[in-house]
Amino acid sequence: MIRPRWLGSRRFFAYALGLLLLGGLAGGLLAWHFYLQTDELLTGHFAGQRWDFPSRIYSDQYAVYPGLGVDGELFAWRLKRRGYVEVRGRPGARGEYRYVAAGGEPGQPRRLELFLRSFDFPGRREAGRLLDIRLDAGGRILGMHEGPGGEEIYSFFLEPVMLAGLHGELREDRREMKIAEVPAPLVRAVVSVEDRRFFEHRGVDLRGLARAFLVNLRSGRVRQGGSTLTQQLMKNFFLDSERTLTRKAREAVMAVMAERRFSKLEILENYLNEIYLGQKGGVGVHGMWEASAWYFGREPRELSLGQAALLAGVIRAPNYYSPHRHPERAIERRNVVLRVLLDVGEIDHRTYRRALAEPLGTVPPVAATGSASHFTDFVRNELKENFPAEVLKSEGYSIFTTLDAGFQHAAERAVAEELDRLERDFPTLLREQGDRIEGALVVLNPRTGRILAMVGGRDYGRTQFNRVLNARRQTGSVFKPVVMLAAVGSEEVGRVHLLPTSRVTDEPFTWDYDGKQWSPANYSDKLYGEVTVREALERSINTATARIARDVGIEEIRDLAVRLGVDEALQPWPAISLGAYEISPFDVARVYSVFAGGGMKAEPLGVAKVVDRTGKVIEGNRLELERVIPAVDAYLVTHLLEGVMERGTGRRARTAGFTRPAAGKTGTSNDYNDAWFAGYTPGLLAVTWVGFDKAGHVGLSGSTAALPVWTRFMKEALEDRPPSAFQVPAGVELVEVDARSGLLATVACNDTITEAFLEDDVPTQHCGALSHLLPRQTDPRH
Amino acid sequence: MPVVARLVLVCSLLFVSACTVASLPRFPGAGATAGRPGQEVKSGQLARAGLLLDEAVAEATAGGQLGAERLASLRFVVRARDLMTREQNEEALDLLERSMGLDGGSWYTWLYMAEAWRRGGDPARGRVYLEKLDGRVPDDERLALEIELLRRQVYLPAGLTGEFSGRDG
Repeated sequence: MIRPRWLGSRRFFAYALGLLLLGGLAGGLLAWHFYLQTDELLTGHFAGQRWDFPSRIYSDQYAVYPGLGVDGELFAWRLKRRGYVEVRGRPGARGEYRYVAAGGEPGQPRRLELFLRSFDFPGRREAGRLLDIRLDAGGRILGMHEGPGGEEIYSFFLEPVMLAGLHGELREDRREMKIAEVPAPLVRAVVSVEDRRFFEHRGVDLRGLARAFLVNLRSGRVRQGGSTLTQQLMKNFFLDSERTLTRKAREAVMAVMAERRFSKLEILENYLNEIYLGQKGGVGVHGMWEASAWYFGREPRELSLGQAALLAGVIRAPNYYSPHRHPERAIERRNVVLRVLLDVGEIDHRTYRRALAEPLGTVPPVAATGSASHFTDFVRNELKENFPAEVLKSEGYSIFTTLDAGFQHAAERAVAEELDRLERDFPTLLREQGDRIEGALVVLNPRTGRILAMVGGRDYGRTQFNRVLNARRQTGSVFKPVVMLAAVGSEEVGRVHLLPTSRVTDEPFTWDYDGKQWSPANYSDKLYGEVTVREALERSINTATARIARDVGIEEIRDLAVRLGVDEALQPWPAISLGAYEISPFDVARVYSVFAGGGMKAEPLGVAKVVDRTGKVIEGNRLELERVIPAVDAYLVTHLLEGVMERGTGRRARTAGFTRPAAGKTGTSNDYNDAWFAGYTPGLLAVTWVGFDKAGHVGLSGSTAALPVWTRFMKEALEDRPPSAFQVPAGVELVEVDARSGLLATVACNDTITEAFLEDDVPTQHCGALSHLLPRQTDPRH
Repeated sequence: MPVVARLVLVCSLLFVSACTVASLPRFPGAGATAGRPGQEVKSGQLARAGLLLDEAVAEATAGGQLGAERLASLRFVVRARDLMTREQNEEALDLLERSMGLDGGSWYTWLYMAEAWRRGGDPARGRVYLEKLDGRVPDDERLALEIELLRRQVYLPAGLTGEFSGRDG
């Protein structure tokens, strides 16, 4: 055989060797580059922020104290919304409760046993604990103890409700947990079922791979992956899910490198925080902490062995084994994991049997979205100034708001269902598609300005326009109390000072101003002749009110309105006395909160605290109070508005069964385009508006369209609350007077009324013949 | 009580307060005595107010006429007072705001609100509550002096010497 000459030459070998060396060098450089790049990637990822943590918007916590009702529909909703589960036996775990009949008979006083959840409040941790709550026959709290026979307590708080998560593009819910916080059974379960030799291998488990290969070969399909926890973590962190050899090789190399760089515990901690474990709507559940809360309403350290086994089991196929959607499969999978734990000697037979007998213990899935959407929009907007959207989506802040989740629920129902009813009762309200009757409801605590509920429209899915804040509409008669305040108040801001009993003429007149003329008219053509200030307000008589406004001075009324919270753009035109000025329901609430708050203006507050992941408060907002009008003046207006509820345009609330002390005013704008009701009890203010977005004829008064929404909300919201009356401030006297003359009542007067007067304004004359011989009657203060 | 005697009492209260301020810059009332947390403030500058608060709660608990919300409100004030003694002013303010939310007319809440803001280093925010007190506190000479002292501590730092007796409308 003839060999080519070149093959035998020295040159050839030199070339070949050179090429080999070059190739080796290039390969080495490439490998070195890959190593450095991967190393940088790994260290950068582990050292930096690995995940985006969505910030969460929470409601306020719910204060519970003796006297409060805790067996009504709303309280049941409050527990359900927080994932509390009613059990038959004594509550043995956080999030469980039961009612116990004290004497065993229905209708008898009962007890509520409630196992509170733990919650990290700003600055303190509320440890979950069992409470024993004694109730009276009406379901109101008589007393409370920590556990049976434990220490008496006087209040506790139900944890806040999560209203919304502010997610990034990945839409992942996750709470980080340190490895030291992970309960041992959970670690054992995960390691046993996912990577039994985790603490022995160095990133890749050759034995595991060989075993998986054999299993797959035998079954003729891929049944086992053979990937270690470290490999899974590398895949989740850096790679896609493609089933290719290249990807598998990269995964393996990265796993080995990660194991050289980081400790087993660091890798495990990352794995337990990273892993995907299910779905809540459009948001992925990642990490054991989040999954524990989502499926069981518990922190990981509170998990039972069975629950820990289930979470470990779910890793393989989170949606297939979802305990929410497929409880039977979930139980089967849990039992498989428990069996593995038994087989590897992590648990004994007794523990195994006990865990097998455990119920799943899942809590019903509660979607965090879908309610309070207008409010959470408002909160986002409030936060925008201090926190860029990207920060909110990644830093995992807890945003504690002032919202009362129960009130919000009641408010949403009141708006939706009452507007539906209106459409049924008044078919003329049904228009072409896209133009439905709309409504808005805002609820405040007038003493603190805390926004308790906000419904910006009847269907957020259809339109996100927040009518509470942005719908500027004519207020109609809702403005009239401002006129009355200027007239009867102690400050005497106007040109005349009237008493609630002062008489005013209700006859047509023309008001000349700035070279123009304005002639107010009553809604109905009816004229009342002569009425008292009180009657003018209670019956919402336009002509009489306008006459009062003219006598008091429209400039003065305008200035007073601005002081109460109406914007500066308000012009001193006569028609404003009847509410011919456009403001939002929120602004109406601000004005009325001064009346309800005893003359103090409490700045409306939606965001109470923003707390970072370490528990540090990074923004705190507090009650800000300002004295706007004297307490006595606020009370005089309140007392007038109480009359509206008892005898005037607000009495429909009484016939609908709302019996608590309340004050309020209806409003109907020109041409019946807008229907309003603004009203309050001593601790709760609600303003509601009903109308069309595109100004259109509603054709219904505030009393017919808006008041029912208000009444329904108030009845439901206050069902648990003990009733309370308005407090009469020093400087005001309640006096029984003759309704017609306003003179002190005597037995000679047929029609009497309890009237509120400033101390200096109390009448001194008695009504009726020989009345000067009779004593004055004064009402005890309530 | 003669004017001279009142002056002497005010001066001595101011002196005691100043000494406590020196030892505890932010929380002058706290730690003045040992014992139950609830008693610590009482021996400080709101001793009389604290006593009246405890009496009001005890009376209401024993079947007084106070409504459930007003009683709950008072109990929040008691807890807030205890928190203040432990220098947990933020938490105390949280509870006092809850107390306000339940009963807007409680002078106890207003008084401790003013005290909490003073202790928190922002006395100006306590003024509005002090102004609300006028005409609402019981006629009690010792209490009046305590309030007057608080008024001085709230108004003096801002140089508002002429507003010691700010009136509530």
